[in-house]
Amino acid sequence: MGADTAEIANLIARCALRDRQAFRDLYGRTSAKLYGVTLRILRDRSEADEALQEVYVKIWQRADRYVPGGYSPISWLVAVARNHSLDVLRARKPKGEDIDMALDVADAGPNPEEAEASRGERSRIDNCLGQLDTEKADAVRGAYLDGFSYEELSERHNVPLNTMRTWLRRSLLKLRECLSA
Amino acid sequence: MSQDSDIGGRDEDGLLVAEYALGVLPQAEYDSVRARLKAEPALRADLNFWRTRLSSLDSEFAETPAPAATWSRIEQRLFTGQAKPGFWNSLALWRSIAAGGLAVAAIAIGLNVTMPRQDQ
Repeated sequence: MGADTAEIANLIARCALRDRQAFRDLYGRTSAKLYGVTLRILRDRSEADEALQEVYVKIWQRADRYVPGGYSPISWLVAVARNHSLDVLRARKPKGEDIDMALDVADAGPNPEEAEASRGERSRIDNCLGQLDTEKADAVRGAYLDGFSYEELSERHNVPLNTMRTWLRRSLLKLRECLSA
Repeated sequence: MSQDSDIGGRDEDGLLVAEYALGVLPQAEYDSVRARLKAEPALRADLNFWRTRLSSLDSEFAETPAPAATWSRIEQRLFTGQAKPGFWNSLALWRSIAAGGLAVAAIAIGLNVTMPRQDQ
């Protein structure tokens, strides 16, 4: 466990003990990452801001559910933000995408420390995604990182909905085989 | 999905969970997998597999400074909002207790003044 990871795990544990200063520190350390998640998936600054508030309310209320050792603490926080954003998407009526915002967010990459920290695991999933056709790997990434539904994926890749689902399911089978190896 | 004739049984369950982890399932299927996850440990193990593996992609979420006002809104939602009604509630409680006490005293005094004395 890296020093950063241990520190974030410690802050979450202290939040579970109702330590408000720890919660403030946790926000300082992680809010830019989690705002990156809500903004990328929701593609609307005010919705992403509202979602971020709800995400931290949940983190404060459910800090005792984080189990050290399973998920890395930052992944747990990202999962809370991602799942909440997907819930917002599901509740939202279909609406036109803000192209400017999509570009704005897509162009920014991970910072150097992050890239360094997760290089090992990253190379594994990148390697497995690399064994899929580019278009199919893009669909998997689009679903995970952008929260695209089957409808959106089929529009983007210009294939019927059922074909899209078959594609993605076959890709997931291959991916599981590769990731389990 | 019926069109995947080469995918069945255990694979089918594993795939549903993968789709659940990825977040692509339509609402009805999402709800059904969610309900099954609570009851079936094997599905939860699948979910754990996918969540852990997919989380390696998390580094692609670009850090973006949150709006300046967000933190104070969170604090307000969690702490100020709760503390205030608590304070006012307890103040109201003490006021009503005080008012009740006064009323009892007033009645007692009133009765004392208006009731004829029995000890003549």
